[in-house]
Amino acid sequence: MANPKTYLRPTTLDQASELAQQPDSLLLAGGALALGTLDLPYTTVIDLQAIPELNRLEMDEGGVTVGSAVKLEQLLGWDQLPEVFRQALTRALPANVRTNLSILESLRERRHPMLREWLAAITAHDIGVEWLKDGQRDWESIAGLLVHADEFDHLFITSIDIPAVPQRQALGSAFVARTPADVPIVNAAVYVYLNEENTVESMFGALCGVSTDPVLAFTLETLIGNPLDAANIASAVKAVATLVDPVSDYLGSAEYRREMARVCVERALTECLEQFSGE
Amino acid sequence: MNINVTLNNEKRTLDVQPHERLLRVLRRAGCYSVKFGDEHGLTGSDTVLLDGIPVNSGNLLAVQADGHAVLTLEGIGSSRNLHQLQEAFIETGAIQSGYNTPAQILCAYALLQQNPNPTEAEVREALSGVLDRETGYIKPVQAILRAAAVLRGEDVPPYEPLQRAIPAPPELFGAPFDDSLFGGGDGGGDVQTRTRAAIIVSPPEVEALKTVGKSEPKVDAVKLAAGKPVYTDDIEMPGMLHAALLTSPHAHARIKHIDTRAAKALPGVHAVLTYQDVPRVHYASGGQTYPNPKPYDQVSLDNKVRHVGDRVAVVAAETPEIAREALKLIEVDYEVLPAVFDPLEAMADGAPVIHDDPNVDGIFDAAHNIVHRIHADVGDPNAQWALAARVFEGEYKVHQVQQASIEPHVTVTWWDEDDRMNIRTSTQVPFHVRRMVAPLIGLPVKKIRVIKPRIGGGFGGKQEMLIEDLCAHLTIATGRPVRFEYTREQEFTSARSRHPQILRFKTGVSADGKIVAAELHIIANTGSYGTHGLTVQMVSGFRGLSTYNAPYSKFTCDVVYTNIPTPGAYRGYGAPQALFALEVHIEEIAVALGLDVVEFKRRNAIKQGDPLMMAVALGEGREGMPQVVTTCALPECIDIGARAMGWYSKRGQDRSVPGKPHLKKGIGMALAMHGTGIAGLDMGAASIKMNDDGSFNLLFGATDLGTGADTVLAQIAAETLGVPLNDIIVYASDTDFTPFDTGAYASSTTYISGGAVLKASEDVRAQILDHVAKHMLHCSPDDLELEDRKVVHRDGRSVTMEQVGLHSLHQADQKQIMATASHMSELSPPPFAAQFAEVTVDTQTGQVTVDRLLMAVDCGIAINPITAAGQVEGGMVQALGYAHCEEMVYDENGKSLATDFSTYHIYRSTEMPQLEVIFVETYEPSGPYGAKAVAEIPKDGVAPAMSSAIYDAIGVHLREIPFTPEKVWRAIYQ
Repeated sequence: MANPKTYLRPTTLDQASELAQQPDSLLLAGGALALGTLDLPYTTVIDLQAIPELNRLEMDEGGVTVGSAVKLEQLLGWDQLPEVFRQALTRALPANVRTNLSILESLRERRHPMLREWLAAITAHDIGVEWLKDGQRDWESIAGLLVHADEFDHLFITSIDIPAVPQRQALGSAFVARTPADVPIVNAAVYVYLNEENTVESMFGALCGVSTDPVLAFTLETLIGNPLDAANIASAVKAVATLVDPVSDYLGSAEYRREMARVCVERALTECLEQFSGE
Repeated sequence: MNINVTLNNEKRTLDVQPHERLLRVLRRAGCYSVKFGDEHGLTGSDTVLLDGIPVNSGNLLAVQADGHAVLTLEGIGSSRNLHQLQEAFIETGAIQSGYNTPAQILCAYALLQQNPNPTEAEVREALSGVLDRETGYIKPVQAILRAAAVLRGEDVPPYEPLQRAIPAPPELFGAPFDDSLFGGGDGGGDVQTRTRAAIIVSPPEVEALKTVGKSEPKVDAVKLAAGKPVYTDDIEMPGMLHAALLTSPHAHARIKHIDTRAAKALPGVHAVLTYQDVPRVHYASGGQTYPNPKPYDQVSLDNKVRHVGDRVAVVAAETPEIAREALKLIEVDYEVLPAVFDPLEAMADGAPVIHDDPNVDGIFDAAHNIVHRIHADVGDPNAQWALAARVFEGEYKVHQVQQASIEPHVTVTWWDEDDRMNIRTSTQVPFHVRRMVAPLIGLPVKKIRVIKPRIGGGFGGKQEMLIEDLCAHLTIATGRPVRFEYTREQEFTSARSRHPQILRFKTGVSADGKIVAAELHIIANTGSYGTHGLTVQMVSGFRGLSTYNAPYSKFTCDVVYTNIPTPGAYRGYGAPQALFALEVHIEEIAVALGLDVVEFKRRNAIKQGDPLMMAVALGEGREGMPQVVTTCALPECIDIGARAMGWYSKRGQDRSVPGKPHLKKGIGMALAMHGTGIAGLDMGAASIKMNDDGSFNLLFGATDLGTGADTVLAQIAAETLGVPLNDIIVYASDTDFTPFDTGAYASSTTYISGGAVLKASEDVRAQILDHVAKHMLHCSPDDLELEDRKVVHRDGRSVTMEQVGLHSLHQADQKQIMATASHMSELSPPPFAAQFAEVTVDTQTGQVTVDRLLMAVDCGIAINPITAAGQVEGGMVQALGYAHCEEMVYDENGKSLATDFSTYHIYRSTEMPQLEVIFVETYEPSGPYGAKAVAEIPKDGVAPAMSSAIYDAIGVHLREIPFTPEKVWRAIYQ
């Protein structure tokens, strides 16, 4: 029978880690998308809701550490949440889904079209991800983990770190969709850090809808060391077309997606420029 | 295992299985307000509050709720003790089918607990997880804002949803125009709900009416607001089994062998049926009047499948999980056949033949997959084409979309104590279902009872005998009650949808700008089966050639089989397709001629007193009959709508969003004309009987899909009988107890069924007057009137209705005052509308944002303006989805890519344009109290109005919907 026979609710991380070794077990926190099928092809469900560490939400000026069982809706309560994240969590993601969609689930179900803006935001901002393996904790940036997607899918993720966006840093995003709240056809998020000379010290970008992978991380090298202005942005984004390898589908052809990748990155960078300009 | 929850403020221990979703456990515990809308958690029908937070209970294991507080609508208020939110939903007309009302109220409740004074945007955000296919979200948002004010203790004035002007003030029709009536004329940006009321311009006949024309609360509103168990699935029967359907993974295949032994051996399985187990009786599944149009190209279960999602086998088992598991154990050996999805390819020589059963009668050309070839024309072609100074041609394409009612198709069948088959089903056509299912299950009609409870939306998708046969087959096979409900994915693959079409118009225009000749050729894709294929296309032809009513009009059509899931009836029934093509075509002509679009359309549009040229040539499934437009306020609709939109100050101006030159603004319009029932075909009947207390039971076979039809029909009875609406007790519909009705389709209920109610009411009224005159006041009946629950003599004497009821039943000349009447009409008076749209086009991406939709509509007298406004608002939003984002698409093997509401996008509460409705009433003499239809016309104008607005923004007419960003982008740059 393709449905769980056993339900377990561990109260400590160690218990959960041990139980997770069982074959055919599902680590469940929330369920908004994981349970979006009629049947659940696991024999055991390990519910993480009772583990305090996985439900922590620790905020300070440097950012927020979020346990993997925390629901995305709860993030909206952090007043320093970057606007790009706020939009990623509210534009195409309905409230009833957010309220029962955990951090863990959002990473595991990252191919879901409603999560594209969230995925781009966390990739561009390069959040940190902590996980547990064989009783040991480890940590890496999301961009690094996504390189090894298969392994990533099997990690017991315990928390993520979302840094705040202090002065001289900016996050921007853009999307194209059929309607204002539809899933994006192509979307981009970018992070830009300006140094004391007001030139770009570092830049990270993420695009969704432009390859067979759910998200594409990239950097526009020509921006580095140069001022962030309209001319430099226009010049730099010409390279976007060479970075992407889109696939045609009913939402948009490969040609259209390639062009939209450029438009979205340009708009996201322009949004950063406007933030730096105080607009 | 046991879980402990605080359910609706009461500590409960519930026995659950580890895999069970909270949704099912709650319903088992009697909380029927929590509903299934989809398996993906994207409809929000299953919303509950978990520790005060809205979550989808279908996406939560029941065991996850252990130790938590769960609140359902039953815990907030009841029908005898309504919460302020429930009261506001009733008062503002926010409830249509009511299927998702509990979820909306719960989300609002959670919001107001945290934020007693929310903004409209915050309300919309709170509702973002609950899809509404009916209201356009306007009235639910109004209700929540109103309830919030009440809960804050504010002095909230009586709800005034409508501004009525009787008669129409002259300034509405001539310059200078008083923009203040419409809030300034530019629509503003923040008036979506709070201040914008529907406006009614009425003829003087309305002034004398007491119940008709008033925004009465719906007669079923309280039970819907309270979340009572009123829908098909809200029933538990002892020993009930659960059905599951095995569908084809192939677009076209023959079943060489099917082995059900393993499935039957699975413990808990009671029946597995394939084509080997049920009689091979041919039929057409469209719920239509006898005799159903041919071909009869379906059987309950076949040895050939014709689309991905087609029926293969059906299982009944103790639980849904066992039934689904059994499906996996059925081994099917398919001979996969070549498939064809494009109708042009399907008609070509050598294309795969989809229907090769020689026993199917009525296919025009099976070898070329042409189901029907339609030809109809009127007028003198040579004379009229000779008058044409210019001839214009254009080809337009419309796509396939799904009705997407939030309640899926669901049926429960059982044998009753008299060994009669009972079918409780979510249907628009209970009497057609009874007649059509009888031969399939081998029972006479008299052995079948069909019960239609409340329906959670239909929109034409339930004008079909879709799953009732299979469910009944399973009850026959097992002897047990069986419940059969489609999954959301099956709604996309195995239910019905709107026909895709290619439409080619050729129009001749005289030197003085008159349309003198018109031809329309349609190639229609009816998918795997014929069902509504003939009649929908006939309506397309009729509608496509009627608004401009050319003296020579010709319609030709090929209706073609392909291997896509079968289209059928969908609100509008061929008109939205035709009117998109027609209106874009006519605008293109106006532009080409350098003429003002509004003036060109107004000048050429049909007018009061005109005969409908095509009416004689094109009926619905048969020849038509002569029709003359008896009432038409289309010119007024155009004028008022254009002024309300500020048309002449916007159209043709190069308008960009300040600071964002890539965002271009556009305004557009389209005309719409629909029908009111099917002339000479639709029939409805009603019975009324008087009770001891002077109240009346009103029984009819018409089916209220959430439109408010029950209320409108009761208002007609109340008006005629001089009693308040709450003295009319409605029961509908049940084939054992209510009189016949063809069902809810073709915008017929108010006009046809209402006509029956009016006749029956008038009969009862006459009996009351006669009884009182003879036995109580000893006078002439001509001296009596019914008003305010009394029979009043012109000399001032009166008796109450209660006295009449008691007297006639118990005291003198004893009899039951009652009447039954039937009504059909050889007329189908058209409602008219002018649809306007404003958009913003992103010229870099092609993304179109719809800013405002306004429809000025002549639906005759709006019997209940608030429910009529709800029909227009919700209809416009469905039409917006058709024009903009909804699309059934397939991969190269015919597998649907739209399987849920993330891939098939329906507008959510947070992204709505401003919606406005203006009624310009006429008094249609053939309709009950002047009524025409209103339910379908809102589906007709949005797509062409959007095309018109996009043209205004970027200078290109788009001839194919939906207006996806890439299509617009290509239009700009290529």
